[in-house]
Amino acid sequence: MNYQFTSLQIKRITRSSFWQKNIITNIFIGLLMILLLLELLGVGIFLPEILKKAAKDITPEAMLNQGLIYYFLVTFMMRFFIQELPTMEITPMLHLPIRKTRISSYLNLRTLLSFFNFLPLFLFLPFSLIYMGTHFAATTAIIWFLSIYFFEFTSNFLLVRIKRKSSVTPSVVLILMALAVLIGILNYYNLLPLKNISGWYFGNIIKHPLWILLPLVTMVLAFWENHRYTMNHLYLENLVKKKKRAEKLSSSLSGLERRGKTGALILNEIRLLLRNKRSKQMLMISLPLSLLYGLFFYPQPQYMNHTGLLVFVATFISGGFLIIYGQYILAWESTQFDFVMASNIQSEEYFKAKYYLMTIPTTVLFILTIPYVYFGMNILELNFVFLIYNLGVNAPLLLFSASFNRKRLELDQGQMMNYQGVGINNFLIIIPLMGGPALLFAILNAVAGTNIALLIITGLGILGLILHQQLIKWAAAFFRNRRYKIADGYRNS
Amino acid sequence: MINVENLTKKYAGRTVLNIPEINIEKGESFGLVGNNGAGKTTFFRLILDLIKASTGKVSSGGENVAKGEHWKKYTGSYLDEGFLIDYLTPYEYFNYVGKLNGIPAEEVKKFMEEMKSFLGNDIMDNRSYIRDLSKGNQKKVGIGAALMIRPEVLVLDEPFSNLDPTSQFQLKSLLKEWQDKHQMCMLISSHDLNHVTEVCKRIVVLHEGEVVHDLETNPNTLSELEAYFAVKGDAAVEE
Repeated sequence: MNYQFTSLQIKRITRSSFWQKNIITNIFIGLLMILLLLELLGVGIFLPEILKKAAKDITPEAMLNQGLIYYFLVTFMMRFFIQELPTMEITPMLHLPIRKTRISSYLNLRTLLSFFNFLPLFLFLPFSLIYMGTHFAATTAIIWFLSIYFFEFTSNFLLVRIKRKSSVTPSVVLILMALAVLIGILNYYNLLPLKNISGWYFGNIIKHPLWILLPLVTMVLAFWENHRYTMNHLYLENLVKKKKRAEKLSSSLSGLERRGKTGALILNEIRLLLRNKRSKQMLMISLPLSLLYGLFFYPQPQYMNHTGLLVFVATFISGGFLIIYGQYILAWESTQFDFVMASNIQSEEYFKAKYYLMTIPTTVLFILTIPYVYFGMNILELNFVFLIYNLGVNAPLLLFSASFNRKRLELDQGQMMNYQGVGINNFLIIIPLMGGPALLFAILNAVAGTNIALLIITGLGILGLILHQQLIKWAAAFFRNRRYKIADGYRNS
Repeated sequence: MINVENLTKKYAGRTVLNIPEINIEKGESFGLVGNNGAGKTTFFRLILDLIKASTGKVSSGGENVAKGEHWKKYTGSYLDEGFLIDYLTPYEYFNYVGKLNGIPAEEVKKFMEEMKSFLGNDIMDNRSYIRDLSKGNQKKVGIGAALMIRPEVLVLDEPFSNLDPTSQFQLKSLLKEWQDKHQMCMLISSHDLNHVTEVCKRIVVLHEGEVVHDLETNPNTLSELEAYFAVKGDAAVEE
């Protein structure tokens, strides 16, 4: 039976239009994944060496044991945001003569296929083989590794159970972050000495193999609890979630409706962004990332002298939303594109609204990041120059690139690790958006010096701003030429 | 009002629609019938400039729909869920369509009140998003919004399917009434011969992309059509 389910799942993936039509994208994503796994494997293989260098008074395995708890805490947090519950279509199974235990256990076992559950294979198996195997008995090495795996699976089932009940809402995120901070503080003041607990436990595993019963029991309990839960909820009414509560935030913006058609178009798109899972997650990622991006770089003196890098940061600080949202500027509306095509919306008005939807948040982001002036006047200056560039050059560029995007975007699924509707051109457009200004700056800087370079870039941006109505017109005309292909793609892919 | 010249649509070399000429006048009610795959939706999509004609053109009010955008001002349409905005509440949707067509919010409210008995409580309550409404209610929202703009041309694909019996009756009288009152050029496709002959004064039968019948509705039309489709069924069985 599990075989049957699995084969159905494989068919679902390979026969989906996304898989069949996007071979290049799939290869590209596959290569990225392989690269990532190879890097992890590299870390795993060199872990004994790294630890030998890092550990001063203790042995490498003792050091690793102390760190393992942090690994589990961090991956648990990451799972919370990234790991999606398997969306197996069980509705068509419910009326068939299949025992519910089967469906339930399959549903739960399938969660083990998450990317995270493979991490220990790359990170810790090499350590177990190379180091533990040579310093301890083979059985100890195996038991040690197994205990890690049992914990990993416990973490998996715990997460799945939590996620079945609640999804990633701002309040849950806040609770989780508060919890993380609390644990951090307790740990810092040694009230909850995490590393000692971790070191003590995994140290004992090496001495007394029976300690493996602990994670084994937690794993079984966590699985059993999931099983119990899904068994009780294998009914249609639990599977189809209906939300009755309407989002209220956008009604506070209803003044936009008085601003004519453009205002109505903008308000509608804001509602789109706030009321669909995927776009909501896009906002939750792109806005904080944009705002906080500077903190990764500005406090480090070695970066502060590297103007090329700061250019890159400046582009992203005001342009984070622009870039992430703008890539799909038409595709966000793909499910209702026939409405857009047949309604009384002239292409030019439509593109004008899109232009404002990119430029207004970009400007707001810049204003919010003015406090970065703390790190120096030149930072503010750079950020301003690239704000102008983003508004004048990148925003119109995205209006043009929009017409190349012909993949339907399903908005009811999460954004994390979700490549539905993503095409190779979504990766390619990043190059001119982010690399363009950096390269331009590098060349001009080498030829004419920093000040002239910044002046020219500002000039380009201002030129784009002056010409924006003409550029919108051209982008709309370009769209008119390609509209059938775009609409056809949105209807069919 | 709607003039079709040499219109064909091919997909991968296969012709799915071939209409040398059709003229639909202002104030005419035009019913399109045919089996699955006959080309009804393709025809409507071409009229609304949603797909590109392989040859020929559709003109609306003398304007080639593929060239201009003026016809959008007076054309109301609902083909499928792609015409709805599923994350809006019904009222927000009506209001949005209103804004796009220069109809003030008070007018929108008034229109919805007038349509209250057709739209029903689920829609008037305005508590859920359109995506959480039933298929029938979604259709009512789409048809309602298309009517609200007081269109000169109205295009509806299968308006009766998914509606409950009461709503079907209401929709029939609504369409007849509106058509009389506003002299709409009304294009409707349907699988239900009963409904379509009742609402439309002209019936066109499509078969494999070609017009095979073009009739004025009279008391015998329904039985003629029934005879035609029954034979088609028998022929299919014999094949």
